[in-house]
Amino acid sequence: MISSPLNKAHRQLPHGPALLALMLVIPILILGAMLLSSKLPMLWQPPSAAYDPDRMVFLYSTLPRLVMAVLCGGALAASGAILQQVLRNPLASPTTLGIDAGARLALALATLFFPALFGWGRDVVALLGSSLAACLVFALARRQDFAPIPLVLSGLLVGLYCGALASILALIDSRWLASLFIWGGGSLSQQSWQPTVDLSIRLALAAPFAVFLLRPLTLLELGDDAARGLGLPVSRLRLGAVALAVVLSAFTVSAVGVIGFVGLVAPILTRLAGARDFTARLVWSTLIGALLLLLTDLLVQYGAGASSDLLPTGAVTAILGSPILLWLLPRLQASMRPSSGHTSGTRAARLNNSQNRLVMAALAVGLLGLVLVVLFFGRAPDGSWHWLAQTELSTALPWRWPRSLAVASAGALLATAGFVLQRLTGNEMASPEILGISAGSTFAVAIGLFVIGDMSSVEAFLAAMAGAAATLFLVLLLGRRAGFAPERMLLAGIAISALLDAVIGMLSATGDPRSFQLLSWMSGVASGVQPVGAASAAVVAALMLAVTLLARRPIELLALGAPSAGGLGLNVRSVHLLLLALAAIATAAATPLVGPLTFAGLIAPHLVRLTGVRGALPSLLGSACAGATILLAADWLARVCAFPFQLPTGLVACLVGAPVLLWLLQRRA
Amino acid sequence: MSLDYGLAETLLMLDSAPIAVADARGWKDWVAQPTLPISTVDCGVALDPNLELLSTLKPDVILTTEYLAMVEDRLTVVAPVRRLSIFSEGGTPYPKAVEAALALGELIGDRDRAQRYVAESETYFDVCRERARPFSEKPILLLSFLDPRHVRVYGAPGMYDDVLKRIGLRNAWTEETNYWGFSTIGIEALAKIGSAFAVADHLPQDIQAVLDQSPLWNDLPSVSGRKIPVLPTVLMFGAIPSARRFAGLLLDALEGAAA
Repeated sequence: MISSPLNKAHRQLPHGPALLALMLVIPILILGAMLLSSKLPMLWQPPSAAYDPDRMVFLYSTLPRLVMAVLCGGALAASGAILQQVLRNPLASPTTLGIDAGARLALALATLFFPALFGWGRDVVALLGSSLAACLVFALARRQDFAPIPLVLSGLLVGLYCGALASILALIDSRWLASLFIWGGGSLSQQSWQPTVDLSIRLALAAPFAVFLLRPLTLLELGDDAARGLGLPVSRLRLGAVALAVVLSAFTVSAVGVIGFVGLVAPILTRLAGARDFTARLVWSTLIGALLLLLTDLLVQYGAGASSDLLPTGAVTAILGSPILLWLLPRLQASMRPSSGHTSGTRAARLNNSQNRLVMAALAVGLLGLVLVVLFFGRAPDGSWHWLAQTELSTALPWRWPRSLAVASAGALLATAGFVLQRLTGNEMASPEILGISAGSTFAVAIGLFVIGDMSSVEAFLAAMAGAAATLFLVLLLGRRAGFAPERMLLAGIAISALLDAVIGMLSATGDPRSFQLLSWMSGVASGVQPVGAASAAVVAALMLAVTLLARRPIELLALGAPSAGGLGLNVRSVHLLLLALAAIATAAATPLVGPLTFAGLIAPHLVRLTGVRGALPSLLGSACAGATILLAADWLARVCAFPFQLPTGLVACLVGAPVLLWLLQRRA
Repeated sequence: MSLDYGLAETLLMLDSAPIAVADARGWKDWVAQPTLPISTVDCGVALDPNLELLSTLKPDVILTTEYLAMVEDRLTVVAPVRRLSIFSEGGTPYPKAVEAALALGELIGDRDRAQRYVAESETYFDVCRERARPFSEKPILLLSFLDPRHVRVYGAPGMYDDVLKRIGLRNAWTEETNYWGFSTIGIEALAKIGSAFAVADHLPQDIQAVLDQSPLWNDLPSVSGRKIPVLPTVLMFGAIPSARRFAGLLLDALEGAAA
């Protein structure tokens, strides 16, 4: 099941890869001829003395650009092929491991705080960021022997985190970070041969390692145990292979920026076309990736011929690639291992009922204390710290209570969603963000901004809701074929998130100030929430919590595994559907308040488990409490830290949550 | 109280300083001139102003632009909101900046003051026009460097373009831009521009270093091997005061290069 998830396709297309390559070469030749035929003679004609713009552009822009497209496409596709093999996940791609987000964050930090670093070259800074992000991912997955799913999820989280930080920096100091948008869109535009030469040298240095890995990676298809039986050091092999894939894509990303989808789609196409063994897949993927990107870039150059406005190839690739991906999704058997290997740990001692109650009481008291601080302690208009005096209550409280109530409700909602998803998938790293719902909301707001123009906050809210609903529908539609199997749903969610991110990247690459409006929306609008909005958030939170409480029996039964739960008379399919819908609605309700990124949903259930609380009822209540606490604390910090500037609550929640998460993961030994 | 730099600088020129400005701490990096009084309260990011702080200031009116539409709802709770957009769909910015100045004059109860300022600005531009006469042959290419491969180029409809036209200079970039007045392009797109005088308003060191190595860049007729002049800080999305400042700085650069 793991080795050849696309058996059917194999039989349909015996000479597939070559045919596919040919199918790509033909349009490339046609387009290439249309674009270049008049200019090729310039190669051998002697330069005229006068300035000849056509010749200069052809020699120093068009040609290096085409070579760059081939190099980048090939490197990314090879990277993707290796990752898909080693992570046994047909949806793995260089983006999955947080490499571009790391580079993006490094570029943002350097632009704002250490411009001197650019003296080494921007590509070196980006490379540094990628490597640090990759190291972080490895550190997170180390305890689990670099098993595929923890690697993917760690990569995803690191990616989300770095991406969020970079966006927030762009928001706070927007002046020249517009360049980050271009970089994020992956423009292949060139003006000299230098970047192309640099990249060729780097890739040439990395390529021999791929040859060494060919045989052992092929053996990995037999399964971990069989491979171990043959004397392969499986975890070290996996680490080495992932590291190589990271290096390949990090070189590319540092040279031209983010180009998504080639690394994902080229290997998938190759598989579908029928490349059987890993060697064939790697070679053909590389070739097809190179051709795909070349074709896309020729299309971009051809299409951009009339207007000179920037059309970043990376984002265009994503947009062209997205229908292919969505079409492929149902055809892919997500060959994931059963997740039982890393379900909830039992390191903390189990508590009995009275101890349970004690912990819950402590949580409740803590939350209450926090509420008092949040409402009454803060910064005065002149910036000094002070408790509210009696006279100030009527002026300050009307501003503080709605937003506090709103973020606390959002925290409870996210924690509930996280709790449900973690129970449902048996996967500790599951969090509401990766269902794709938040990305859907963001996307809808982006469309609204670019279509309507001046959008009021109510319109933005409606757009976000519509986006969330549409994404939910899409995710469920894609998941239906798999019987709403949780792992599949998460993969579909990841795919949709990545896709929407790419489209947003495309919209913002032109440096349009509207992209800052979008970023601002993404950082959450809790600060502007009105009493009615806050109250409705609280009602929704209570409602969701109540429904989840009602569903606690099926949740507990699911923990036994789907077959046993089915044996006990549970309709597993509809319970999956119900719980997924629950998590999605909770996420959708929280997203407009605190933005699409917080770790509250991920961390809150973990914190509660660490205290030793067991059982669905206390765990759920505890998680909701913890989620509310995290966001309430984060929102307070966001208000007072950089006074009078208000930091985005979602970001601060990430900053508060990330160390906790790291610590939690390191405990797992 | 103004959430927009352009409206704030106009108020300053009308001797009616706003009590608070969004992102006042970034003023000197973006606007530089006119200077903001020290007493001006900073009320946070324009797209997420600190409402609690704003409410204690009890402003008479909050000035916004179309760009800030998403926060207007929450502002109305604090004080009446007045939207004066200079950069918006349709038309060009300078006439809208004039309208905004007159509207602000009305708002502060001194319409005459605003009319005098507008007229005075016209006179200033007439003087600039005289100064610019020796340079009217060559079109001007206005660039902002984003990274070593991409630039923003300023064109029509835009504030810089309006100023160029007003003082009798030609813009080398003739294609239409977005309504903020710029297009983002790869540097190779500049090759098709013939002879022009290139000026940048932002050019980091490391980018200059890469450009020096680029044969394509060094061969551009608008550059041809020389270092291009970089203007001091001037707000590219401002109102009349920034437009005047830009005209002055550009002429200084042109005269500096000719000397």
